[in-house]
Amino acid sequence: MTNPVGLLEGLTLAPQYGEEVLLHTVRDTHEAIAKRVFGILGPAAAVPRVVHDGIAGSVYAGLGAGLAAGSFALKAAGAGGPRLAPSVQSAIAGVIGDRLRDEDHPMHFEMAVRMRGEDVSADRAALTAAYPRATGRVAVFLHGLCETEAVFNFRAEEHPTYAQTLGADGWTPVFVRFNSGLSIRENGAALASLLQSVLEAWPVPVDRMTLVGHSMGGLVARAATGIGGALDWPARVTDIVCLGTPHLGAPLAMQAMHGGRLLKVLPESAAFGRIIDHRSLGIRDLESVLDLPNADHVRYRLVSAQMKGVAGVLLGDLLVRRGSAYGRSRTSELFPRAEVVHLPDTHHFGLLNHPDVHDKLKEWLA
Amino acid sequence: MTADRELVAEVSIAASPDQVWAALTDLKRMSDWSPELVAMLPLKRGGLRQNQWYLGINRRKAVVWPTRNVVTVVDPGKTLAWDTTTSGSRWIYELTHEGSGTRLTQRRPVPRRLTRIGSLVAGTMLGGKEEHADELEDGMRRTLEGIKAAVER
Repeated sequence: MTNPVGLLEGLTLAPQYGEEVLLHTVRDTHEAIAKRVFGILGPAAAVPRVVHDGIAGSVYAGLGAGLAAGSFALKAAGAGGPRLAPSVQSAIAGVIGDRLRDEDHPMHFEMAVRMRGEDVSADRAALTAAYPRATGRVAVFLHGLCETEAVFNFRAEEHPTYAQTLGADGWTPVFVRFNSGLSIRENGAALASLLQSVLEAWPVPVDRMTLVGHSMGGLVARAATGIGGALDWPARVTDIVCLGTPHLGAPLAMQAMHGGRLLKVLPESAAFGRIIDHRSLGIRDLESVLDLPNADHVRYRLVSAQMKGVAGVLLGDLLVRRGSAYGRSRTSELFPRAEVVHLPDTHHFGLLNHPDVHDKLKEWLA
Repeated sequence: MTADRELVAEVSIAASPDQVWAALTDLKRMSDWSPELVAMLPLKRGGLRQNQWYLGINRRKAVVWPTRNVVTVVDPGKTLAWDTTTSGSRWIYELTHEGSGTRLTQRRPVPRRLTRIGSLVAGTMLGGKEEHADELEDGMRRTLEGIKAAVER
């Protein structure tokens, strides 16, 4: 690997976001998660690609090559934007994305509909070209912290994806990418705006919408539908499916807030102690229970997972505990009428392609 | 007319500055009065105060876009101002005694710069910055007329 500090300087990131915070945090977390998943799932070849591409892995895996290329590209292209792998860009955005946005940094990106790794404008011409077989049922997929829309391709080599399952039932899947380091409400407002544009420019009339969110994506979905104002799309939403969404906060983020005591116990979380002072607004939002209004006409479908053993007890699916995924605590019940599905013995990414969820999606969204 | 000019609108309202202030600072009603605003909601706890953020959703014809607004001045009965960081604009409301009523002035000083998203929205989607500036000024007048009608009702 080339000199990462120099690379980060090339990206004009402030020194405090340098090697120590980004590279080490992400590498250590990635290694710990990979090791844990590796230990459970078997040989190295079986470590899911999404773990590499996901929350921690993409930065680590891509940082050397990605930032090296990015720093050259930045110098060459100026404000035209670096050509980082989207997964690297999204992972860095999750950690410091609010500052990238505030600085109008070329690595910041706006929320957009995505198709084959490119933005699709929310206008009639672009949507018609991108969705030649558009149907009146639109399923919007929202990724989690540090992720990209590619996370929904988890295990696509072995199984159909949720998008394919819904596609076979007459739904048109629409993938959205966003800077997950921004506050959840801000991404909610951006999503509310984007979906209004999509609704109006969709090639055929939209009669039903559903939002499928992984982890933080479920919170963004809730923030968007609760925004109010003269918007037409929320009334079309019949279901919000939350896959491992921390409605009551996530342990990693909460521990970060409480001085990082638990962070030191498990290797997965130890590195997060380093980013306590640097964490993005998006991560800070995961520390608390956001007061997001529920829509009366929407059915909430909540899916949680839990690992076996000590990691499962402490961390649930590694990142989100069961009670948080269901919005249930001793004192509150956020979704009294929601249907809940529990997946034992899988992890935060296993939620992204699980046979039980395929069956439930077909039932819920028939 | 270009985007690089101060935009101003004003209105005389037959009510005290306190009454006008109360209506003006009930920001969830702002979308009833402002033709371009769809929704406006606070991001942080604590209501209207300096450094509070308001998330906005704006629309003009087929284009809908989010804004981020940071409150810079809250001087009750006198001045309310926020910066729309997504467009680089500052929006200032000033209230002055005028006989037994109030003169309410809204100003948008010359933006220091258009941010990338602001330029993108103004340049490619809103029919150009100049046309949008003229329309904004018209929208400001309609906003103030809306506040006037609500307060005088």
